[in-house]
Amino acid sequence: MEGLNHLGVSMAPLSTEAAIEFIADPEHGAADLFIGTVRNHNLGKSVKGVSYDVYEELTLQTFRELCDEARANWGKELNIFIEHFQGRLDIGGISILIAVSSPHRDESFKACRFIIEEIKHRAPIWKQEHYTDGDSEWVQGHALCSHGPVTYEGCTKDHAGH
Amino acid sequence: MEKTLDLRIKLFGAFRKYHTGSLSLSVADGASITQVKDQIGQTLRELVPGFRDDELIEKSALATNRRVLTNSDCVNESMDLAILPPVCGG
Repeated sequence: MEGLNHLGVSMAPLSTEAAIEFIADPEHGAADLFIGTVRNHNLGKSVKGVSYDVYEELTLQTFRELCDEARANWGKELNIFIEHFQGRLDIGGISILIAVSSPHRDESFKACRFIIEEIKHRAPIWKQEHYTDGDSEWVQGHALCSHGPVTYEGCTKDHAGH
Repeated sequence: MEKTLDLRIKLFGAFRKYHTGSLSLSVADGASITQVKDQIGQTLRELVPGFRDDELIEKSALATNRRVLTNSDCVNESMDLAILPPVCGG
């Protein structure tokens, strides 16, 4: 049976408990949870917070495509939870939660890693760092193009490199 | 007379430091992605006298709600698009 998706963009605090609860399945013996948080430094600058800008409609479409790609590679029974925060967070705030469960551990590890790496390259989300000196800057990122999955060590199964 | 199309362009990320909200512009029917991006640059220069960030436009992609457009796409109807700077979510 095909697994479940929970995909969202939220202006409310993200809940690890909700993610774990959503992917729980008596037929699954493994679950992975990735928690992205705001750190207090970047490129030598002291950071006090980050604002996230999200093109919600296309982000949710990208999340749906990533779920399809993950299931094509690591099994249709995967349960997948993806939520990204929109708005401003202080240090330690949770910017993204990805949770994946599967019958065995290898699939959930790889699918979870795949999804976060792809989101960083393909989801239309931007961050503006706010520094302790009062300055702020939009962070440089990855140029978008319609080239399909990126590749990276450990998760290149069935993906064409580029 | 050449048919023109009305586009509404949503701005995200680094574009927000120049203009909040969206841009309205007109392009020729069948305009290429490059032509639309050129028109976005021209419109921003008109609205924001100090705008010189052509590199940001060059590095950005155009998209609908459903997909990122490629250089082989063209615009054949009035529609809403978004210009998307390089991304850094997660």
